[in-house]
Amino acid sequence: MLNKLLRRNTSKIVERWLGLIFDTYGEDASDFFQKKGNRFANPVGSIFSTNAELIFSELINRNDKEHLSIFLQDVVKIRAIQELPPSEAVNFVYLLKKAIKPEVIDKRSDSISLNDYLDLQESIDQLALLTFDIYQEAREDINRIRINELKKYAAVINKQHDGSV
Amino acid sequence: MNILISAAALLILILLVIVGIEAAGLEYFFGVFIPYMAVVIFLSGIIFKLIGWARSPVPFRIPTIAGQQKSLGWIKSSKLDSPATILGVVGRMVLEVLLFRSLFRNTKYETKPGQKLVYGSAKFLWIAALIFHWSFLIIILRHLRYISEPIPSLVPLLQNLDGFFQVGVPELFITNILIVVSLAFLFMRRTADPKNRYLSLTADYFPLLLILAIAITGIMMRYFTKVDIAGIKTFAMGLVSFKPVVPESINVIFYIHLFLVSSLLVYFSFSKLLHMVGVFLSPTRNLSNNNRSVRHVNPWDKPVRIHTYEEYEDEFRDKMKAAGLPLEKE
Amino acid sequence: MSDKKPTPEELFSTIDYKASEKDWSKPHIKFKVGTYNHSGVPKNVEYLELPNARKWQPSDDDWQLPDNWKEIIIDGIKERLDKFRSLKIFMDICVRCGACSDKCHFFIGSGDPKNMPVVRAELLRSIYRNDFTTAGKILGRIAGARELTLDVLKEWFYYFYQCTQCRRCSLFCPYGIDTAEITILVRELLNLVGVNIDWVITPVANSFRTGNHLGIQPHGFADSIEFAVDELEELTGVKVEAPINRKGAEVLFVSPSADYFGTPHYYTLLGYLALFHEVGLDYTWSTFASEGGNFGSFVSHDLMKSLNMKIYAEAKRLGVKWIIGGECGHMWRVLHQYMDTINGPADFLEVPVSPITGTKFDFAKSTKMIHICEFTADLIKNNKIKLDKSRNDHWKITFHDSCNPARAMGLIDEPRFIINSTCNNFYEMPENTIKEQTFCCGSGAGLGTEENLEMRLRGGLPRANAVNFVHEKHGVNLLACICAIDKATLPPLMEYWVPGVEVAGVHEFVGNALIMKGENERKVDLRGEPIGEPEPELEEKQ
Repeated sequence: MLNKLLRRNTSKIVERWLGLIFDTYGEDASDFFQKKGNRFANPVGSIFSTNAELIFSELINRNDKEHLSIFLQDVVKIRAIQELPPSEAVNFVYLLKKAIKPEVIDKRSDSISLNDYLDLQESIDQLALLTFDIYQEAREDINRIRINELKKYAAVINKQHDGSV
Repeated sequence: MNILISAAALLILILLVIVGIEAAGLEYFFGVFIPYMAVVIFLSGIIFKLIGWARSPVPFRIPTIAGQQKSLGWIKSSKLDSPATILGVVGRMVLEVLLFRSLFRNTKYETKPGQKLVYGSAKFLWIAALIFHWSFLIIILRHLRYISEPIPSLVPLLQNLDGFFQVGVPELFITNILIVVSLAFLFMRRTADPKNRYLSLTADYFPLLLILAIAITGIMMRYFTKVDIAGIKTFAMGLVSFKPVVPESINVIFYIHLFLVSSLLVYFSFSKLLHMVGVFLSPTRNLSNNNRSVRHVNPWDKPVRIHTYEEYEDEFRDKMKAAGLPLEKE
Repeated sequence: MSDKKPTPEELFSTIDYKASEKDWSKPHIKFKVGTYNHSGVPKNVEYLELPNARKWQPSDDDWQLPDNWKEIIIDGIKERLDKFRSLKIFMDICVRCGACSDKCHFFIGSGDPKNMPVVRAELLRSIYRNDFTTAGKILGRIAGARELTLDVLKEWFYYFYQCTQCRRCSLFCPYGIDTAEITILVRELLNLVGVNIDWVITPVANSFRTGNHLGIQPHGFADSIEFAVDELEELTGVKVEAPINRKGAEVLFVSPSADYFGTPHYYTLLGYLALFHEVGLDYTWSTFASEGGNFGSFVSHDLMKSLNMKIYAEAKRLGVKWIIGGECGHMWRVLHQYMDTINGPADFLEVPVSPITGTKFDFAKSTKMIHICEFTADLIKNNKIKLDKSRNDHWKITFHDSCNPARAMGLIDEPRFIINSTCNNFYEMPENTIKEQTFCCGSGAGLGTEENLEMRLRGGLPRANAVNFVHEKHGVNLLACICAIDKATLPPLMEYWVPGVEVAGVHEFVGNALIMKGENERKVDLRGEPIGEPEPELEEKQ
């Protein structure tokens, strides 16, 4: 029953979720990311909007880890370079809980079993763990790229100092 | 906060006139002295600014290029966006000044379904700006009928065009509606979008409100609070012929209108409104992209510290020799 | 805090992340690792005889400025107002219409409102109002004026080293206000009090001394060119000549130094060498003018001039007739818009005429210097070289217009013509991300350091995002460009945002496709990778 409810209200929930995510940026940034839907003029906003929906429907439907990873990646990669502390960078997943809550509470329907609700919470927690893995990977990517750049530069310098140049 | 300060400033200006005319009877001061002073400050302000700008040279030719350069004959160059000739530059400037071409550039946006407004928002600025500026210009030209005798034939022509729909008595001028609507839009877009709110200063709200107030007082005189047109014409002709007379029967609203216009003239050269003049001097727009075929001279060019080839060879001679590179001095 | 345990959200709300500063006039910059560049090394600052050489870092509280630093800056502004009409106009006429606001790649990538070009300029404009305008002096903050403080200076450093001088904003401005111009001038001001970054200072010092930004000495230069000649022979079986410092050659060739030291620039170098050999161009390299890229232009007009002078000086010493310049971005801003003014007139040179086609390059009749793409496009158009397009079939290519060739020169169709003549698979990125509207790589104008990587990845997102679009749609696996900074910084950008896309210069395709007299059958491209069908596409994302 819960699943049905979620499916029916997907767009509402995703919209709320996105609002919460964008709110983690300053008001001006938040507004810019949110308002313009153009894929090229506002990549951050458009990637977030597209992928949030994908993540959510995957979560409540198949909940396939591999698919989720792909959808998460684009979002997490952006969060990983935005001066956010790690906790804040992955926190957007937990914001989904907050986005879902009103739907469930509003309906307060007996047809929603506690069990289903707890399962959902559980899958969001799993999603968060997955997000953390991806975040860590992205950070390692950044450091690897950084080290490679240094190596390239050092190679030139070394060559000169070795006298081989 | 910025809006409040602007609105307060405007209110004070209006109150000044009302008190001045109604209570203190300063018709001569507001009707003659202030306008003359305003025109003097306006003209001298612009001239002063122009001289100031002109005194700084243009050391480098730095146009922003927006199209294919003129290079190989068989490649079609963009004559307006990458002008290689004076004519091209003139064309570019004309389109820029008359049609705000750069603002129009705000690109073809691909949009996400259900977000149609996004597409328009960029063009809205261009349209509103265009409507506002053109309406303003036409309205100013229409006012020539108050300060000229005989009236230049341009004026009735404009009036006929402007009153094309022939609605109402006196007939409704389209520009009157357009200027108010476009000003309201330009004001709204600053307040509605946090991005624009962030970058807007008091100096952005104030002129919008001021011009809006001028437009509204003008419209009120034409359509609502009827004023003595003949009296105003006599008065205006007196001003321009330097034989000022202050007629008795002019409504205070006219004085408000006149004082706000005077304020705008005074404000002009101390503010961003200078863009009207400055746009012609912008070196990224008014220079041609012929950098490699015609030399541009920098008047203050001066020698800088350099490292000559001789110094270079002196430092590396041995190594160059060992590598078999040709040398100046063995 | 109450005795109640805070919820996670409450905890997060205490993190001061980009608190919305409604009023931007009171700055306080926190320098976070990954988002700024290190300061100039004192010994190089001294070598260049620039003021206030000292050990410091932007993250220090005390920047060890001279006591009268404010006076120096204000005097500096005054001097520049008198010298540059552009500055006066740009300070006076901005109406803050906001047309530029979402055109900056750093704003698009970060959402930081001070990256809106209009606000970036306001950072200086507010000081200008305070000290140089009547309204600002009388009305102060109401007129948008503010006093110059140390925090303002720190903010200048932060944001004017977050501008790559790409000039995209200037394109959309109804008055053509050019943030690049403002950025150069503010960087000049910062330099007056010894505030600078090492990735500008050290390359400038190197270029000054050795002729190129990596500090490669003449024998090192000769070595790497020889090495490239050998490698080209291995790949093609053709031994080419690459004369260095040769007097009496017809043409001097100047390219960015990364071409002979960086990858993937190096493959472009192989392309140049093959092409010049094949058409029999009588040319020479120079060790003294071994850098076209001008790091001086990232920091001041004077240093730009002092580095750029080497090109004409060397052309004169070697007695060449005219000059060709390699693939580079900011280098061409200087060569096209400044060189003739700062170091001309080049009356000792001749109007360039292609010895192969006879084409007279009239458009360069004053500078006497043409772009390699103009040279090559002319060769191809006149059928002077034989090309086998299929040798580039393993690439699916898109072209990134480098900012300066596009927006300072208008060099837009030449590289496209070359790509289309040498490759079969070319796909354009979406319209508002190319040509004059091209997005910057995010690392130009001295920002391309590893310590600044997070900021670069942010600034490069709009470009990467457009590449990703053609990557997913057409399976594009190669991003072509004509800029040395692009070639250095787009690969990490691609590695992070669009894995599977390589980066190359346009003349690499020329080198691949060029049918050379006496060559072996080419089985590999200039990278040593097998020629043929494209690799099976990466599994497409859903």
